[in-house]
Amino acid sequence: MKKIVLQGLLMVALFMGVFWGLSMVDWMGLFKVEKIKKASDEKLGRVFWDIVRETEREEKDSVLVQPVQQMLQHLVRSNGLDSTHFHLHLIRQKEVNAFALPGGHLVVHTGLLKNVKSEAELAGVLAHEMAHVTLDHVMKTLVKEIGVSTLTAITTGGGELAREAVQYLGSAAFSRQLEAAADAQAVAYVTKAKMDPMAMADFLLRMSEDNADLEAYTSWLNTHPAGKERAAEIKALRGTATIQSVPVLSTQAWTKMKAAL
Amino acid sequence: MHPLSTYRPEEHEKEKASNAYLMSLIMFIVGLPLPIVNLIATVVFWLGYRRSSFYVRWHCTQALLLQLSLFFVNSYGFWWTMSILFGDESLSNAYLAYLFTAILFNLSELITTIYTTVETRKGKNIRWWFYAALTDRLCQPRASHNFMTQ
Repeated sequence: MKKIVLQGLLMVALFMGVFWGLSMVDWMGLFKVEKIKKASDEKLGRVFWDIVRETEREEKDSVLVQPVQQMLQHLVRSNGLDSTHFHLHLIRQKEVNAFALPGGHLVVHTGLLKNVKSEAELAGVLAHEMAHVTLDHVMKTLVKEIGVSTLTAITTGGGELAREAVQYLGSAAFSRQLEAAADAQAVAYVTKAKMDPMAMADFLLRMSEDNADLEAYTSWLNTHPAGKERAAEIKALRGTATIQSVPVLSTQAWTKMKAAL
Repeated sequence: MHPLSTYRPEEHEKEKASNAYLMSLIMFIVGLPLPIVNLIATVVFWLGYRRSSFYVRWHCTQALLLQLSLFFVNSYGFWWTMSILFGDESLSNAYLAYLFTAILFNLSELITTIYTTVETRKGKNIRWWFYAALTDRLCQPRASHNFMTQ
C-alpha cells in the first residue's frame, strides 16, 4: 500500500512539475494573444460604430464634443491609461444613455449631457463606461450572450447580427456583477482624477427617481442593479473622506455646452 | 509473481480485455469536449464485465482507473475554460500552461491506451506503472472458484 501511495504522489508531483515548467513559458507573448485580441476588438468596434453612425446622428459641434473629450482625457491621464484606447462619440439623441462598444468606443447621448448637473456627474458616467472597456466587460458579455462564432461572423459581414448586438449593448447589457464591478472601478478612476464620486451616486439616484415607475418595475426583472442600489453601493465605496475637487472644465465651456443642448 | 503474468487468456478474454481500452479510446475521441463521457463509457464497460474472468475484470479496472485520473485533470481544465468563456476569468499564462499539461497527459494516455489495446488483444498482460499496483489492490481473484475461469 505504501508503494502505491508513493507512486500516486509521484504521479501528482510529475503533473505539477510539468505544469510548473510550462507556466514558466510566456505563452501569451508567444501566441501574441493580446495583440490578436486587440486587433479583433478594434475590428468589431469599427463594425459596430459604423452601424451606430448609420442609424444615429453623430454630433460634431465642438462646443458639445470638446468638454466631454476634455473630461475623458482628464480621467485617462489621471489614471495612467492609454488615451489611444478610447474613442469618444457624441450622438444627438434625447434618451439619457451612454454605452461602450468593443475597441474602446464610448458612445454618449446628448440627452445624458442635458441631464448631468455637474462635471463630476459627467465624469462619473464616463468613468463607468471606461471601466467597462478596461475590465473587458464588453467582449466578455458579447461572447457570453451571442458566442464566439457569431462574433466572427459579424467581423466578416454579419450585418443583421451586428445591428442586434449594437442594440443589445445600447440597452441593459451587462450583468449585475459586471455593473457593480464597473461602478467600483469608476469610483477609483474619479477619485484619482480628484473629483467626488458622490456626484455619480447622486446622478443615478436622480435618474431612478425621475423614472420611479419604471425603476420599481425593472428592479427585480432586470439583471442590472437598480439605480438606488447602485447609488448606495457607490456611497459606501466612496466612504466619508474629504475630497478636494479640482475643476476640469472652465465655467464658460460648461455653460456653452449646456446652452447648445 | 502476479497471477496473470503466466496466464494464457482465451480468445474471447483477449477480445473483451482489449475492448475495455478500445472503448475508452473511442469515447475519448467522441466526447472530447466533455471529460465525463469517456469515464461513463468505461464505467459502463466495467459494470458489464464485472462478472467476467479475472483477466477481463483486471484490465477493465486498469482502464477505468486511468480514465478516472484523466477525468479530474480534464474536468478542471473544462471548468476553467467555461469560466473564461462565460465567467469572470481571463485568458492567462497559467491557463495555457495547464491546457498544454493536460494535452500532454492526454496524449501520453492516448498512446499508452493504443499500445495496450493492441498488446492485450495479442494476449499480453500490460501493466501500467502505479495503475497496475492499484488495480491489484482493487481487483482480486475470487477465492471460492478457480480465479481464471470465473
